[in-house]
Amino acid sequence: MNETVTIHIDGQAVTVPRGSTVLDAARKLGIAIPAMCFLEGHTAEPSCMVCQVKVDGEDRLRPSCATAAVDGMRIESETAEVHAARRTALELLLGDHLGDCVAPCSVACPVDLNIPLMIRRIRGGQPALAGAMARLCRDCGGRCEKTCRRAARDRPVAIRNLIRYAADIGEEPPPDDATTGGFSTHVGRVSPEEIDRYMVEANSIQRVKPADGAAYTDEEARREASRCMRCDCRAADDCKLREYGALYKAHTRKYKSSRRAFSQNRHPQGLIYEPGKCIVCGLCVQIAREAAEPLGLTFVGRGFNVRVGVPFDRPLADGLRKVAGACAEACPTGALVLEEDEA
Amino acid sequence: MSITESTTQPDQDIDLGVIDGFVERIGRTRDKLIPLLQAVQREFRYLPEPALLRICAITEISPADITGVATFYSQFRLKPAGEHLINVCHGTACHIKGAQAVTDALYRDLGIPEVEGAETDPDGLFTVQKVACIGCCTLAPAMQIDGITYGHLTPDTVAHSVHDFLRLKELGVLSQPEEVPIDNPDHLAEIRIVLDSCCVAGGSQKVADAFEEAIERTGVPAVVKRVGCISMCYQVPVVEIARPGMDPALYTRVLPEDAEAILLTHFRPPNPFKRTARTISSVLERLLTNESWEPVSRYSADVRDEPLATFLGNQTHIALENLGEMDPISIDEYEQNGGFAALRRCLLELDRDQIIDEIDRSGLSGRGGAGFPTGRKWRDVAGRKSDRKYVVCNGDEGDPGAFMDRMLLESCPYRVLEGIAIGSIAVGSEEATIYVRAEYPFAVRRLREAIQLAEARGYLGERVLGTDTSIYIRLMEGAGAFVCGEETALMQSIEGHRGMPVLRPPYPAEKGLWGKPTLINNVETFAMVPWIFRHGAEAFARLGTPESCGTKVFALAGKVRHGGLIEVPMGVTIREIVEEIGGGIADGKAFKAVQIGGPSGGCVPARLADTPIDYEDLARLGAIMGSGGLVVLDEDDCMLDVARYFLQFTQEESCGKCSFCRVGTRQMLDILERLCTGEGKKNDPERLEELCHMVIRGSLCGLGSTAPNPVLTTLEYFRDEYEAHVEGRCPAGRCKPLIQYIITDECIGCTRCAQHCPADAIEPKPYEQHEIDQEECIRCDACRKACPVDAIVIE
Repeated sequence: MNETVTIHIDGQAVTVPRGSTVLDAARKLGIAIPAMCFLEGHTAEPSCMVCQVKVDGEDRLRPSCATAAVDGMRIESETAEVHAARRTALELLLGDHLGDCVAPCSVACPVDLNIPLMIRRIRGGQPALAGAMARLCRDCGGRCEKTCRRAARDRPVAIRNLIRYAADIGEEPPPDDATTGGFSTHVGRVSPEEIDRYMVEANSIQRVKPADGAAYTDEEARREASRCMRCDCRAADDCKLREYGALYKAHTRKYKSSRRAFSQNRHPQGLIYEPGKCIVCGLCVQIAREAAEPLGLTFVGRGFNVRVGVPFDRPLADGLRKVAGACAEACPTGALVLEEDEA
Repeated sequence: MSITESTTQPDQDIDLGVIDGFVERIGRTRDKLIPLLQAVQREFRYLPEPALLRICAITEISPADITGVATFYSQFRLKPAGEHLINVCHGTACHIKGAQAVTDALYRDLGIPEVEGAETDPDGLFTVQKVACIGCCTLAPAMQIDGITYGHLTPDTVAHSVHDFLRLKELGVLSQPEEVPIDNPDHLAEIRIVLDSCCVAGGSQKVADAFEEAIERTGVPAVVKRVGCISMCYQVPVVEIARPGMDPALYTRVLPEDAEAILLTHFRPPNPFKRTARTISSVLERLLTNESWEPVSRYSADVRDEPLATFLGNQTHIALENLGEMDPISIDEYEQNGGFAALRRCLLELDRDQIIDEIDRSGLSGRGGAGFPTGRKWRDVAGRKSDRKYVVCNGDEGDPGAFMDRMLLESCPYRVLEGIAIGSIAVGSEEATIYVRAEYPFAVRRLREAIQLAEARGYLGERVLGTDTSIYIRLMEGAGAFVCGEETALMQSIEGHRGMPVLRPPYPAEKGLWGKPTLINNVETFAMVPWIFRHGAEAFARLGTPESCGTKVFALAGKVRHGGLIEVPMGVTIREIVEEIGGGIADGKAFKAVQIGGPSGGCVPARLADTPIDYEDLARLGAIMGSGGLVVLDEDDCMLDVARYFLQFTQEESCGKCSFCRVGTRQMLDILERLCTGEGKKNDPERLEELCHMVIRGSLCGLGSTAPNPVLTTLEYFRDEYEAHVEGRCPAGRCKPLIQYIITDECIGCTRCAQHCPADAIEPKPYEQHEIDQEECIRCDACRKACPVDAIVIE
């Protein structure tokens, strides 16, 4: 028996070892088929359906990550039809995605300033870096504060005061990550219960007024900065849904209707789980199983309501004792992330 | 392991010894997970956490396995339930006949609060849950209370059924006796009573008991004999008097009090004076005093009469052969009717190739829905080299509106077993599994018994009929998941996993159960096999059409006058079935459409009723044969409501794995919900259509890729109804937010509507025209049904 097979993808022939998948073959050709639920080194359990290709002669499309390459197969990958199907898969996932890639304040900002990052830098003791960002502000009249989610609890974060405070510090040029923008999903209006959950990230103190009536002291600025609820996504720059969504020009709200409630689940060692961002690909379930975690993770429920959870509703810390980091690393979206050191 | 220690809550006093006993009896391996959970739930009526943790501690099953499986299958409950479980059927037939109104009434009557998730009454006596089809479509709407089925429910009367159940419980007659084959060595006359799930629900057990008593009392030479379904489900309970050498007499809709009168019209009691004063009923008195007493004609229906003759007449029975003549579990009778002759022939006279050739020539194709040629499948599995092969019989009949597999398993268990045995011989497998869905407890019981009896007779088990061939058939009960009817999901379930489909290829023939070549066929397919060997492949192939050979069993239900199971040659038209066999639409309404093939099928409009029913023609119309549910719809049925009903079903039953099915069907449902509540947008029909095509092409398995069919067919054939809903109108008057009930000046002021209104939306005003308070009205239709002069209309 031949040890290799040859298939054609978009008219190009490629020879791969027997047992390879169409995705393997495409990658060998340098065709970048998007894949979210499949990760090299793990078993393909196709669910996201973003890596679809068309096999010549078939009506239905197939996930390339789990389709074995068979000698003589002819595959279409980079065609309008296949791209439309991938876009729909992404749009469906986006339709059930609960999270803001970019925080509302940044979205409102006319210069796309990454306001939450600036605030974190004030809080985390990097005021010079924050200042370099703050100087980009065009003082539009405070759209950032008008959209700040914290307003739903008490009063918005005093972003303009923070900007004024930071803008006077240092002479550094703006860093590369000063602005955000581009592709973003949006949660929209949130309920009081959800605000409670967002508040976990924030200090619940009252809005800080400058004692001298004019400008914040360092201490005051740090305290006000701690009021930020951090509604931007921790995985904004490391999210396949965002990356492919932008690449395939997916509409984020094409299939938006009813949405899930925001919730967050925190691991004492810094792992954060947001079920609303999970695409139920099962990579973390697989990793926990392979690592023989005593409890591990599992799919809970079925149908639209299927979620990843810890058996018997135990805390995340019990479920992931060994491989929390590996799971966060593998997660294609911001559903499982490690809390970074405050930047 | 610390998880087992740290977490047991003190208020859950569970005797862990019981759990240890289950594990001892059932086993410790991964594939025993579902049977173990079923045992735990039978014991506690839910799955208490300490019990589950105990299972983890003493078996190779992990906590992740348990939570994953326990939350996947709808049979399993993680919260304590009331003392009795009421399963209200929400199958297709029940849906169109008002299951939701019945459920609402049940909630009101039991005082279950109207809050999200509430399902148990304040006293903890009853827990109400919606279930997928319980397969009693002709009794729609129907429900089961602890396994006892009640049919023909109405919002008004559903409370009576609950009371009846409580009365039975008080009388202590809830437990069903073990069934034993009935001896009739002297060939006495037989009083044949159909005892399967539907008929028992219709009261046939009570009728059987009444006949037993009457025979005892009168001493007439007859025995009561339980027989399988005779498929006249709209006429239950059915009793047939069969005397040797005489024409049988058939009585339908028999009541227990008729038993003695019926007996005495056919038999002369040996000693009339045996009757004691205690037993003299009014009927008997009439009989004694009046020579010209008429037999209970109210209930009798001679088989030669119309329309019963039509109902039975146009059919060809292969899978349903000898229906209603044989005791389902009597192996003697099965043998006397040619049973096991096919197995004998296959085992002793034919080699494997000849067996497969015969099936090939017969043109038999899979009756589970897709219609794949059976011979080709058998040959594929037979040709695989492997140390082990498996056979699986798919009895996970999940389509709401289909119940032929239940009936075959209940009424002809040996025929199915014989078919499986022949399939096993053909492909070279020693181990077969029948997977039967959880909602069919009666079928499971019969099948278990039949397997034992067949083993004892040497037809199954070690060294079948003294040859070197062994065939072991075991039974696996499903746990409530429609998707397990999909073959790869079913095999996952047998292995003890969540029923999540796996991408094909590889097909089961190559890599199936436990990774071995596996033959998987549906119950009805296997039931056809013995007939083919007794009558020859050509006889089978002659029936039906050249492309779709043989017969197909359909479950006819809905708005048709005579519902039931029918078996007809492929290629008969929809019209023949609805009008000739089904007797047309009930209540003088207009025939609108027929839903074929359940959630994967489509709605065929009345104007296309001359379409022959075969695989090709149905596929052309966008419907599919499916497992053979035929639900007839009339002018009162809203096609969007029907589409939404099926979408809701597939949505709930989706395994949740792939994006297109998990999110795509949900989005489709959202759009339909919008349309049905008057919030539709102008481009919703187009958007829905686009999404349908995407879901069809992108879904991982058959469930997802056929789920849009009910929507697509209604979009194609009933587009005007979609447009009407966009404008906020429901032409059929079915979508509650779009309709109002109005009392016209025809009202005679009889107050009946007010008495029936469960929401106090009508004030009783004798002799005056009544009015409906639209704020209070819950649009349950009770008033309109109660009005004697049709003065209540829907606008």
